[in-house]
Amino acid sequence: MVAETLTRIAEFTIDGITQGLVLALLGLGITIVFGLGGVLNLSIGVFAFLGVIVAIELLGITGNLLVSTVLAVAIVTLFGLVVDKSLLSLVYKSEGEERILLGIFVTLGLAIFLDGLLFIQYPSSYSLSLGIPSTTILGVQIRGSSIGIILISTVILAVLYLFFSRTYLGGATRTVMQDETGAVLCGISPRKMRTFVFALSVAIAAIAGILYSFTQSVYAATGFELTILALIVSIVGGVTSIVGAVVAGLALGIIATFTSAYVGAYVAEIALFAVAVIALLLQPEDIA
Amino acid sequence: MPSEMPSNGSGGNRSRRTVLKTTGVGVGAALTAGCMGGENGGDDGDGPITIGGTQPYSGPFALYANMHTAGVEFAIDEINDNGGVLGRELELEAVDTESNPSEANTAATRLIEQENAVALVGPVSSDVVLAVAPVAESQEVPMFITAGGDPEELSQDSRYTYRTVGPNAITAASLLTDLIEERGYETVAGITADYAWGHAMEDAIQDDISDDVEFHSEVAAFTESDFAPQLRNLPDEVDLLIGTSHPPGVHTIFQQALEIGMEWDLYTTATAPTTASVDLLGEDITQDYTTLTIPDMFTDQFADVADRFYEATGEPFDTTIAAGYTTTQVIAEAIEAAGSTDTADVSTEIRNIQHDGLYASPVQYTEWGEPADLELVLTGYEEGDTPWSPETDIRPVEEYRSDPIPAYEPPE
Amino acid sequence: MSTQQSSFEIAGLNWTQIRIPLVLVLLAAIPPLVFHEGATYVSRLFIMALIFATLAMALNIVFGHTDQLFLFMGALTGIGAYTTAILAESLGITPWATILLGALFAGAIGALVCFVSAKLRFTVILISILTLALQFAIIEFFVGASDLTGGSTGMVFSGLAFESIQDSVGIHEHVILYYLVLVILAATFLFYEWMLRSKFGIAFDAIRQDEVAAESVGVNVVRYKTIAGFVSAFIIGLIGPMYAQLEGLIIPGMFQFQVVDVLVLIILIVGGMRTLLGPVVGAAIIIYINEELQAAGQWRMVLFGAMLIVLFLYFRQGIVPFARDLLHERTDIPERFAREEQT
Repeated sequence: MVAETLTRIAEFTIDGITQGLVLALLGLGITIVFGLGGVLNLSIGVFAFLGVIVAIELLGITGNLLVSTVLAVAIVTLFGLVVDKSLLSLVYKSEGEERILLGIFVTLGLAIFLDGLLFIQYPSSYSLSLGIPSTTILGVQIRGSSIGIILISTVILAVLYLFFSRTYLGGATRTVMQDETGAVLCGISPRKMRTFVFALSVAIAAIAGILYSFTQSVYAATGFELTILALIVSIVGGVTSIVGAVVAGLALGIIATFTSAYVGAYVAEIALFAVAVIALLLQPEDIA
Repeated sequence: MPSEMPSNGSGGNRSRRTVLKTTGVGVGAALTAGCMGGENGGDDGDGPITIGGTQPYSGPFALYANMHTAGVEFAIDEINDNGGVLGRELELEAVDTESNPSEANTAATRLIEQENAVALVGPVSSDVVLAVAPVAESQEVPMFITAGGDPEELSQDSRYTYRTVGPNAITAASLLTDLIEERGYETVAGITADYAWGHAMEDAIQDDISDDVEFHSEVAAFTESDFAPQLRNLPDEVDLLIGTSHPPGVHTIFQQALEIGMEWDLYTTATAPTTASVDLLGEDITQDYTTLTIPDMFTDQFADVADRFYEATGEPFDTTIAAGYTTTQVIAEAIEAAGSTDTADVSTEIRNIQHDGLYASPVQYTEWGEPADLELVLTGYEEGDTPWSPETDIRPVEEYRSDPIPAYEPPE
Repeated sequence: MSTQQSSFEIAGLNWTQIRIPLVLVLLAAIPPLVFHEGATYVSRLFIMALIFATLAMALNIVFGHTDQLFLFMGALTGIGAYTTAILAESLGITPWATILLGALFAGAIGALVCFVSAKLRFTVILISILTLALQFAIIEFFVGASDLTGGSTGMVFSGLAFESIQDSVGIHEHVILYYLVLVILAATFLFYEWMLRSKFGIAFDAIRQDEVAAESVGVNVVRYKTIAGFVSAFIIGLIGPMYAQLEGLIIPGMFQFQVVDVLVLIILIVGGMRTLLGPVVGAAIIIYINEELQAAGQWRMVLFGAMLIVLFLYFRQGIVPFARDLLHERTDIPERFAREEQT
């Protein structure tokens, strides 16, 4: 009996980590853009869904999952660049609080606009299959998609970590996040950095969306749900903290899985928001 | 399995609805029309007869709206090609309700008062149905629910609200309990969505099931998308896995149950569009996945209509499209029988109808709008030559067929 | 902007003094002119516009004047409606007796949220996220706590009708409901005018410009923000049962973020923040456009999203401030001419 309970707990933990890593990626997407440009990107979930759709369309042509997903991320990132150069350029013209509000409203409008288009063209549910078989280790059943997601997202998070800590560009990004004026004095152009970081966040979102679709079917309305989750992760993680977003994602993923398993039903959903509210109230004062 | 879903069910000439009307004169005209608008339900006797569509083109049920619309428009085209109804053409005036109950109420009121709709089709999900049904009842215009299975949507006093392709939860549950008894299933597990449909079904199964049967049920939120925690709490091996009590999750539950290595003899779902399930699940669907349908896909008549539909649109025919098609046929028949577009007369005729068409049993209604003596089919899937689009090699097979189920009688 | 006095005059009367009576008279004249048996679609839209105008007035106070962005207006509307209905039913009394309790409860929640946020010095972003999280949690509660709320299929609600008046005078229930909402809107108007002229107006302006500076000159920032939150949430909670009366129902789907909050936010921004008439003008325009877009069928959401982007980017100052500036320019011209000639 005890062994069985422990096995169950191990399974839930792995499920939770899987979900948490995807959440961490999404939260990171919100965090880096907000930290650098003061724009809270409410359309991030749509980019995630877009990644899935483009990958599925490409899969129909290429027949190769890896090629399709890599190309899909590239295409969605390109689209993100277009959004940055057009809509966000207009947002960045304003300053301070006005920019924050304008950022919220414009990305909300963009999300509604894109969702509208996606509902017309892609009204069904969609999912991708990673093709990794499920395995059992020491009696613990591990889903194939979990193995894939944990591996892929760990690699991506590690690359991002190295990028932000070891490369010049990454260092420059963090400099702008911390001190915009100082960065300008060092000859770093904040606008160029913002474009780069927005494109990066869109790429992360597209990857997160594709990973998410390995475990469940997604549809156009999933985009908005993912945006809300991403927001919560980012906020719980401290809005501008990269490490915070990752930790928050993992924590929320595990909490969501366990409340869902042991409390169940609607209370589990409320628990997620309750954690977000509590985390907000316990925030140190220095955020945002 | 990767799936590709071409813009599904966008059959016929829906594009004419999607052209934005020139605005400007709009409000004046609308208001004047509103003020001058004569009695409800009637119309001026010439020009096309309007069927109003209150459909969720956006939101979680967009697929239902698209496919249902395709069926309605295909039926309208066929009826018009055969001389129309009462010598007049039929037309569909469709509105996007966004799955928003308040918007649906506004849309229904407008379609009735301003477009003189003779009948309404298209609401999906119980909350929207509950918002639109009072409009239909008070304005005395027949309304057909596309999907929405809360038994309490209809009361003993309902005279204008009709259920179509989605059975109510209690009727659907009685198919499942019959199945369990007939096949001697001993272990049954289900995922219950935490809302009216889920609970009504769980209670009905709980009440009717024999004491010898082991019945496990896990409740998940309506919006849940990760069912692994609930599924892991269920036995690893069951005879019957019920997804029917969680309609929004039927595909994901199936995928995740496969992935965590659960085993079952049969998996049942709600009335999700069959072609969509095939596209989404791919070959996995042949692993004892079944769809609960009212349309009967295994008759010559169904095949005939499916062929004609494919010829006209290049899209596969489907149970949800069949529902739109059938409902439109029923409305047209009722108008002919009433000899006028008076909505109260049309509604009376709908209750007199016995329409032998694409459904497993003839379409006939009780006084309060529940389908009477309904037969339900569990449609399974196997590999083989497909009657659908040439892109897949999966075809439907009949898994189980219920006896006629007595209509659910709402409390007084 | 709020304190800016207009010199615009009509027939010798100062516009600022007559605008409230004028607008209310115009709004009160709508039912006899427009409402009609068999045209409930039209009357429904007018009531809807008033309801959303009042909600936008409430957001105007808390967001426009104290920078606290409420993104749980749908939830507060629901709390007002559910509390009114549930209390009335369990006590076996008319909802008229419980409607204030519903509003007070909503108000208390608004006050609590603002108090905590102000204490913790939340920025506008943080309070918007906090309220957004609450919005989703509360809607889940409405759906899940079905023993109390009736769950996803909610409850029927028609307790705010005056059946005796309807029957004896022979007027439609929409006429009564319209005037009920108009009374609430009128009260909100008057309160708003009074508030901005009182010490609240000065305090709000000070807080909005610089919280720290406001505090240093003795403005109790936490207190004023809490009061603003209470007032707005109270108004929203009061509107809840009216909205439910119009629908004849109380179901969670009516109170979703996408259904209430998005619309109210757009209405306020388009109409003009920190103006008296912005919410009414915004509600009229947005409700009208929203209906016109019905003709676009499934393209409606696309057009709505595109419209939002354009409105926010280019018209975020709002229609009312825009019109006021236009009028000022015109009335200024003779003055400027006079000045030019003097020099």
